[in-house]
Amino acid sequence: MNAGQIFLISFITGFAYLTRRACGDMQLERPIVLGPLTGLILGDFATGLALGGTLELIFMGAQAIGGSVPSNTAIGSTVGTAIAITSGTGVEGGIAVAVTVAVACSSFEMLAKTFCSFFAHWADGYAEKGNWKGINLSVWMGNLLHFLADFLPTFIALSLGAEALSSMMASINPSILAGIKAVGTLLTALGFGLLLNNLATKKFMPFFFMGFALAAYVGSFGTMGIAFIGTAIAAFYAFSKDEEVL
Amino acid sequence: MAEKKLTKKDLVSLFIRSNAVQSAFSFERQQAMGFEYAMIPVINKLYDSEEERINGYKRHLNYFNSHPWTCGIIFGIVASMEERRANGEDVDEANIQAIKTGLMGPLAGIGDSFFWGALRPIVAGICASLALEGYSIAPLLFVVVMNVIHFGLHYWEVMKGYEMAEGFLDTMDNSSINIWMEAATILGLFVVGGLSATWLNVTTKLTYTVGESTTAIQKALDGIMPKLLSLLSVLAVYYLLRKGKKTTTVMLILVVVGFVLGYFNII
Repeated sequence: MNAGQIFLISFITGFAYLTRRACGDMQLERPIVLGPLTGLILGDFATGLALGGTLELIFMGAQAIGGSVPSNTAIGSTVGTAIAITSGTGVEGGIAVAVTVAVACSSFEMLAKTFCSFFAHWADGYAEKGNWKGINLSVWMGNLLHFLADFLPTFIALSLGAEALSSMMASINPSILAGIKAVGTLLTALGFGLLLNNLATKKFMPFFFMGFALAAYVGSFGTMGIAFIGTAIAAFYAFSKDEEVL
Repeated sequence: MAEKKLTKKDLVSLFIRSNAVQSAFSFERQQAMGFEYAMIPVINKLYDSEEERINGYKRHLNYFNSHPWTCGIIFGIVASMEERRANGEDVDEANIQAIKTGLMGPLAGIGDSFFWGALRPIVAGICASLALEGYSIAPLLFVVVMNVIHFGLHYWEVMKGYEMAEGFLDTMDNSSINIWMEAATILGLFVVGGLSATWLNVTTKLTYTVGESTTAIQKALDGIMPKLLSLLSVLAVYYLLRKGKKTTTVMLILVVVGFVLGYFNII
């Protein structure tokens, strides 16, 4: 990786996070987006694509729901993909790096959220004076801080850690790789477990088992088939309940 | 005094700026800074006196937290209320605050359960599988599908919210909102179940030998139920999270257990 590539990858990581703050939540921080983009910057789109797809399944449920910060998906995706490509360890190695980095970086967003209180109070002061331009400035200073919260860790991880990490990855024995692969498999369970934890109530838990059994016994059902039947069941529930209320 | 009226152009600007709702996000005010950022032009247009403007700036710096995909309707409603207030109608600050506070929770719930819980796993699941099959269109497809829905919905919400204003609460009362949130939960759980069975593949490599014949334990497990170990893994994670274990703790447990099982060729 040359300095330009490191800067570019760090920039898209920070920018993807910035769009969550200032551009709706465009979902640009997902591995499925950042993995292939990182691959493109480093000239290995295919590995980026494969890693993006794999990481997406692992991180599927692990984005902040309701304000909690489990891990930093964006930094994990770009750093994991970049190291996998430059060290040649492929998808398994990339997963290990991505997950480790994502968790290691989980506190940066929290720090930005903590320090942004300062800008809110700044805005209070400007509001008091009727200075709306000052309020706008406070908003964008806060956004800049959030951008840096993703940009800087990525930049540091890629500039200092890449070589050290890649030589380490190259020297690991097959049993360790098998272990890492199993970790990747089990972490997919964490993504689904997190989603389940956010959605589950005792009353509706049976629907989880229905969906699981359907897909487990009939492999060809696929995601769309599940979504189709799930929507039908949910609509039936809402319509019949709504009728009772009206 | 001429009647103050927000034009279509003002509402389009509100739609654009309201996308910044999560700006300068802090633990203290959450999305207040973003809400303020979107409302500044509306306040400037509607109020002439310095004092009224200052009050307007101050009231939208209050705590706010909803969902970036479903909060649009609140912006539309609040803009309409500000317009009525500027024209001397009986809309006080407390009414505006009540509408914001009353709607932000349920709408956040719908957003989390429907868009994060159901839609994103579906679209991401499809696109991830396309990516794994080598289709380079997958990332673009993900971004386009998600954001056509995202921005289309958000635009519709801002416009519709402004149109319906206070009537919104009458057409969609609390019980109705709850029912649709429950329906979204059902869909979400169903999809999480289906995705777990589709994408999670925990299998064991263990075998046992009786006399001459060696049997794979996985085959026996498949006889009980396909994907049994995958189901147990998800339920174990769920159990730990429900027990109050932190996400990071559960992750560390999975890393240790997974590594040991993989290292010794068990899974």
